[in-house]
Amino acid sequence: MSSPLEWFGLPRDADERALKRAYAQRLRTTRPDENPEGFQQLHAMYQRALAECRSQSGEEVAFPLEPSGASPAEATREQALDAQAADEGIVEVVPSREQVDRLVQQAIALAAEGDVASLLTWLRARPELWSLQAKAMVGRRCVECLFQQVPPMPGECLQTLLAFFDLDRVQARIDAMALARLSRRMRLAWELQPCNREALRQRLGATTYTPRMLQRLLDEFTRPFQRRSVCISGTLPSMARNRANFISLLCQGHYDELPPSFDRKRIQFWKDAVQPGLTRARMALALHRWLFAMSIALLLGIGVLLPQLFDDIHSDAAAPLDLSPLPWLFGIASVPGAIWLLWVGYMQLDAWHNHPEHIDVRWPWLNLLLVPVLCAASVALKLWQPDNLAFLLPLLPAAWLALRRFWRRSATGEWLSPNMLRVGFFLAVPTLRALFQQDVSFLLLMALALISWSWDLWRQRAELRVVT
Amino acid sequence: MIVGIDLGTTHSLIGTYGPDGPVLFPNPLGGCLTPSVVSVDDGGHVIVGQAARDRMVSHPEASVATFKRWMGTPRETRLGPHVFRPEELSALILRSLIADAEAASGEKVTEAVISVPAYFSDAQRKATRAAGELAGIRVERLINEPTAAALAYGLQEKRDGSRFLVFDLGGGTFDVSVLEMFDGVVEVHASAGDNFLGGEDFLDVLEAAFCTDQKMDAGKLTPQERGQLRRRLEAAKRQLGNGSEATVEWQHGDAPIRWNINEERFAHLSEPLVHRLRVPLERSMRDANLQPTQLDEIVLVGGASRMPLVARLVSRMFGRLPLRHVNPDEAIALGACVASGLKARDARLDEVILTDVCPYTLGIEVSRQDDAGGRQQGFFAPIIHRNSTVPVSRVETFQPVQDHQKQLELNVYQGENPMVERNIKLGALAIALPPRRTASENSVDVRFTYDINGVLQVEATVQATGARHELVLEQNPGVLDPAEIRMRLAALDAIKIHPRDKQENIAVLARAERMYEEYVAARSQLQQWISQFRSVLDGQDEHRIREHRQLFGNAMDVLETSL
Repeated sequence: MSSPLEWFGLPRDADERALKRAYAQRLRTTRPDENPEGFQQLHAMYQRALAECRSQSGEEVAFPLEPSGASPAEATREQALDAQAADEGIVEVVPSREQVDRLVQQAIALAAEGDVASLLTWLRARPELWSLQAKAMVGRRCVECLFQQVPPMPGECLQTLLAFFDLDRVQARIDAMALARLSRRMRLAWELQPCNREALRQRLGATTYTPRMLQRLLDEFTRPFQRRSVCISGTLPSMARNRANFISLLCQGHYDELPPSFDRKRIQFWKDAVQPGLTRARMALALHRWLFAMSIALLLGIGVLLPQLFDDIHSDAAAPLDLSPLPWLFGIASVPGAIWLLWVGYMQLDAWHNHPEHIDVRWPWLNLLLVPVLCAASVALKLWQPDNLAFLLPLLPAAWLALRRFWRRSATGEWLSPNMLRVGFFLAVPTLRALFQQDVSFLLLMALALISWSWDLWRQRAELRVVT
Repeated sequence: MIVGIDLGTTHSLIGTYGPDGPVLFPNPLGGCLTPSVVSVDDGGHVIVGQAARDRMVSHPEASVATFKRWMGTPRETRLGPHVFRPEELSALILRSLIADAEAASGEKVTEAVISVPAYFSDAQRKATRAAGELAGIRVERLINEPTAAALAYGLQEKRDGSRFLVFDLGGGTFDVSVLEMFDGVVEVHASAGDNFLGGEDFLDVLEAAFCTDQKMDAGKLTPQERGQLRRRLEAAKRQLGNGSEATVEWQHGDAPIRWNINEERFAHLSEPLVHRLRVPLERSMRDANLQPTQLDEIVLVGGASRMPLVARLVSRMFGRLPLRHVNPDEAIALGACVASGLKARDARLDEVILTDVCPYTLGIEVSRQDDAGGRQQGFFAPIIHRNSTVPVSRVETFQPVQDHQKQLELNVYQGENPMVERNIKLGALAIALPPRRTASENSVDVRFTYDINGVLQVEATVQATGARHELVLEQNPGVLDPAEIRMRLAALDAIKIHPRDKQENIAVLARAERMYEEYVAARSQLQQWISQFRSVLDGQDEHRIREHRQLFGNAMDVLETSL
């Protein structure tokens, strides 16, 4: 059946009246309360036939999705409507494009001031907007303008505008995500105006950010990126965290929505600096912090050596300088850096190993069999050097990784922070080893690693899939 | 017998489709409008209707009105020794109406079609059905109020091939429906509304203006005083409909107060409410895809639509005067009667077929991927769009967010906003997904079915396994479950209600007590009348009681007009 009109047994050029009669006739045998399925089919057909009827007779929808005015066909239709309206005594004035634009610009300007009540009063008092058609046109145009211009505007004003034009609903066919994005950008632009700083401070947390601090941070992020100055400002670990938090709060995680005056490189640097894993920003900061520690060590060294030099000058003896404290100082300064490197490496391993059932990890087979591989390496080391502690090097991470995965799936609650657990484990094992014999601890750790690994594997056997 | 009931915020009516078309049944006092007020007397007996309304003034702490606004919520009201939920209060009204219908027709009422605001939500509709069950009748069909009004109007007028808009402003709710009639088919194109906008809100505006002018704090008035004041303001509001000015005279404490208000000022004060009336009107016209010029009639129903400002609003928006020759108080009840005839498959209504719409959008919560590749949550994916003709059944396919997801959480929402946080959550459904599958392999079909009685059914089918899950939308805190309904039904049956033949005496006494509270000057006179009537009642001579009641009522009429 090609035409829905034919489905009703009507000729293709049937008019709406005939269709309605045919529909009413069929409806008597297909009542909505007795035959819901049949009725749904009938009604769907009726809608299609009605659309076909109307397209033939040239009747169009009353509310075009796009504001009308351009096409001549619509213009004549509007004239016809006007004539009809005049006949019936209805004052239905369709505003011109310029009138619509003027209204829209006035509304947007008022909304930018941020006073919801006066905006609403103004909108309600506009006599033009009492006409349904004019209101629909102005609403559409308003949204178009907002998307084009992205004027600064607080969120409540945008909501008020949308609600007044009844565009805050699913049927308005405005993409919700684009609208949310627009709303965030407009609010940010509004908050970044110097007169609205206080509103911004309230949103970010007035107790954390004093007005001066806020100003300083905003200034800093608009300056061009310079690696040295940035590294210096991030010497203390909390400074990096602060800046990353601030910028993420400011744009609510949508970094691309920040105005172009913000320095992208700087933002990226701080974002990277707090990300887990080995990023360049992290490395740069670590290097900088290590250099800083070294220079402090050097200063301390000079401090230690200076009295010697003074003694030399006074005694006039040609005794050589005692340089033995220097390596010690440098060594101590390097220890945090080394620990940090190990830590980051371990965290990477941990993150990679945590979800074995996720098939999109790199080297899925190694990921699955990491614990036994490490155990095997440990056995090899033990056989090669029985009296050495080297076997602990692969065995400790293996036991921990297996345990951690097991724990994660058991959902034991947050009674200890994961970092505390990690540190505790790595400290507890050598202590235990000191208390017991070396062989016992070797066997204990090996059993722990293999049992928890295989147990976990058994529990997730249903989801396991290594080959994509 | 199947009856049609208009269970209103301020008034309720009952009727059926009789041999001469729709007919309404009178209450014991002779009128068709029974005030939706429940009161409990000192003996714990329940009083319903006009007497309870009079007791709102004399015993405000033991009386309750406008509880239709609480339907679908678990709010409880204490009246004397009893605690009632909104469903139970409605059930008490229904019981009284049913008694009237049974007395007038001599037939047993087994089933009812109850009218509800078109914009009532799922929970509110369930609560209305529960009220019917608590009243001991079957309620299978609910009819939307504007549709009912249109049904009554359309059949009365027999205008074929016309489109019209029904504007229903009741005591507590506002509804708009756009309909078309052709060849006996009554087709609803669109409905919209506001569940918290009605005549009571306009009364609040008047009360606020009165208190501001008299430098009074409305919160500091005793419930009795407030009841008296509102009664007078209500009378003034009605007067403003006819004349251009109204005067409120009230004895507050020792000070007599005289307050004037004219229609112009009232219209100005009500402007924010009028703007709220605009929204559903615009919405329904847009959804029906019609221009004001394409409407043939605009029908005003609901008592509050008598206010001149309503007619002005309509003529301003639609460029024409609304139709006024339907009785705005009875139109909905008459329509409910026609609907009861339809439900009973009355042969004379064989030609009439009604198709209605689902007034709101129903869908689920989804997350979406943004341009940066991140996931954003909280978007509303509609499945049944508002103003779809019911019954309607639609399927959409959804995918889990992650590969290897074990469970899919379906959150069902009702509303119009693209973000779920601004919509109403109806329920949730957890669906177990088969393991070892990527997101694209684990699609789930979600089917929403909205039937002619306004019941939503949600069904999810996992495509891979064919496993079906059905959502039971009963876990709403505002909805009673069947076991609870049985329990409360037994409790309600145990509550004593005054016999129907005593109702007139109770009403006369309640009115006298109300007047005693209100008119300080006439207290001694009233007290004398009350004691006289009581002694006549004690005599238990039916004939004498009737005679004396008549005299007493007339005397109070004279007293009230003179004061």
